[in-house]
Amino acid sequence: MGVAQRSEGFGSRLGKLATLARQNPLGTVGLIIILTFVFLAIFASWIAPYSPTALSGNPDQGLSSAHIFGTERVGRDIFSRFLYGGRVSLSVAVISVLLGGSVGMIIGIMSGYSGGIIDSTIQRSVDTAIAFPPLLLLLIITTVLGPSYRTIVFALTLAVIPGVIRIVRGAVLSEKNNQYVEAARASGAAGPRIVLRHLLPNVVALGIIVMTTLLGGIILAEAALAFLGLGIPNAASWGRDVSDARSSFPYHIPSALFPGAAITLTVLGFNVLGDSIRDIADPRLRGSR
Amino acid sequence: MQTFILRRLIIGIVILFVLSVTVFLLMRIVPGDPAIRRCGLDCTKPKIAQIHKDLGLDKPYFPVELRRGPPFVSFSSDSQYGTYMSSILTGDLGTSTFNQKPVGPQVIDRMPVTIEIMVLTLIFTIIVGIPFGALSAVFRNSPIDYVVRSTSVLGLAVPSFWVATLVLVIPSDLWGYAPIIGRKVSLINDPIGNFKQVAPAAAVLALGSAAGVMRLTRSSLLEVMRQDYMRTARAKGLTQSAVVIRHGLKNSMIPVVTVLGLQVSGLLGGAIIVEQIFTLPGLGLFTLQALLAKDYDVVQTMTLYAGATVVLLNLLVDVSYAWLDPRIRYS
Repeated sequence: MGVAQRSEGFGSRLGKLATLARQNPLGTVGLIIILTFVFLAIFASWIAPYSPTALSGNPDQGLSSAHIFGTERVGRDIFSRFLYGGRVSLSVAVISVLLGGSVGMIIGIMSGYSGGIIDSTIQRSVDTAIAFPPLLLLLIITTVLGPSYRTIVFALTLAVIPGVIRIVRGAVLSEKNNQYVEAARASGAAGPRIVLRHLLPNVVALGIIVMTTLLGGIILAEAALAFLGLGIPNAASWGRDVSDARSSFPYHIPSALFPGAAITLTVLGFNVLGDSIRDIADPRLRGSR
Repeated sequence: MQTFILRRLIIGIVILFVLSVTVFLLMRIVPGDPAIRRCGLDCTKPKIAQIHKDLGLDKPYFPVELRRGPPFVSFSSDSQYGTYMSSILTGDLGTSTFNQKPVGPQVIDRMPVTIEIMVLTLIFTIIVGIPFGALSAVFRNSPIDYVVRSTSVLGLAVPSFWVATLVLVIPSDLWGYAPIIGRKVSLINDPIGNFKQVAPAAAVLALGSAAGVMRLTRSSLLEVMRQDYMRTARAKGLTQSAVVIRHGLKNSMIPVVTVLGLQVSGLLGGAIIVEQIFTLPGLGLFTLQALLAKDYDVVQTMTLYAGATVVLLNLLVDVSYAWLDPRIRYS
């Protein structure tokens, strides 16, 4: 391949991306929102006018040129906390979903592929886990183990796993049926290997799609934990900011408004992006949720 | 039909049993000895041992336990799990350590509040979610469809605790308004006051679940409307609305009912949040207070009740599912 062909390849790939973006405007907006928040979180220390913990102004001020989102109850700048808050929420969510999704996929594949007693046992365990009200489970784990970054990631990962197992196992089961029919008609030898080669890529793709749809919910869960006081201590956190706004009298709208808006926008971005990815990858899934 | 229900019931009981053991074990992996916390500053070994005996912590965990040497299994008539199970089943739930009052009467006192919140939330969800979802499907790609779709996407993204906080904060900051807080307003004696107290909480929770139901109703109805039998109905001469309501909506309700049942476990968590924010004296707030005060016995009990509720409700959903769609009864 010459240089000319390579640049043409790059150009057409960019063109494909542009077409994808044009056909899925909502998903593109979601992606932009997410990338913006990620950018703001990473570069918070450069963008933020003040430190999130500094008492940089008088308490409960409205919007002003010095503090564009105002100050909260002890005088910290709301905008700076808006920027720094993303660090915890986004990193916790991504790590938990990646860990939980991977573990869930492995177990789901094992469960669906083996069948029999292993499958039944795992399925019953998953059913039990899903019977648990999820917030309650998270609250118990964080209280029992003490709130910290690791505990919360651990709890959220646990919450992700059962759902992923269920979906992946379902996919494996339906794929298994397809492939056995084919294998029966074909040579018959190397059956399991054919199944594995076709099954795994499809299931992994499904797993990835599921993970993107889970991200929004995990961010909400982490924010709820922080709101109830079981978030990561000493970190700027959107959930806890909303809780602080609620518990300090007299009430001050900007303190409550902006952290919550941050959570909403981030979750919105992930949800909308997840929907788009799902629609692109498999339009059949569109009907289900 | 009977075997179907029986099978589901047995599975439900097994799940509850596993749930109880799991919660029981979860409470006991707590680092730290509750006896040490209790006995205060001048702690001596005999004092700790006495507290262990008082709290029943010196008993073996389970009635049946494995041993390293022969006889490899040991049975005890008095075990912590045994006490736990008998207290749940007989309703004698002891005294809570964080407010020193007996647990049983508190649970009974607070149950109606939480039940009311959940029922009202479900009512709001159904009243708003299903009709708008149906409208959105029937008038696909019309302005009303876009409004419904954007509202539902927003509703799924908004944190319930944020909306609840704003509902408290905005009227107070702008107009100096403060809602009733803390005491229980009886439904029978003062229905309007009771509604005013519970409705904001239920409305906040319903935002999220109605959003989900709207989307699901829409996609489910769209799916159903594409079916051949819908075309046949229209060809027979039925009006569009008769077709949609009589055939379309009923058949599209199956996944919606399933999801409503699944949402109950999420609502139980949501109840904790809104009860905390609006200070409603319900079971959610009770569980939260017990958890923060490290009263693990109460948490254990409440978790089991919550799990039992979810299992029972899902059983009801499964049964209604089989009733709605005869094909499922014989699977």
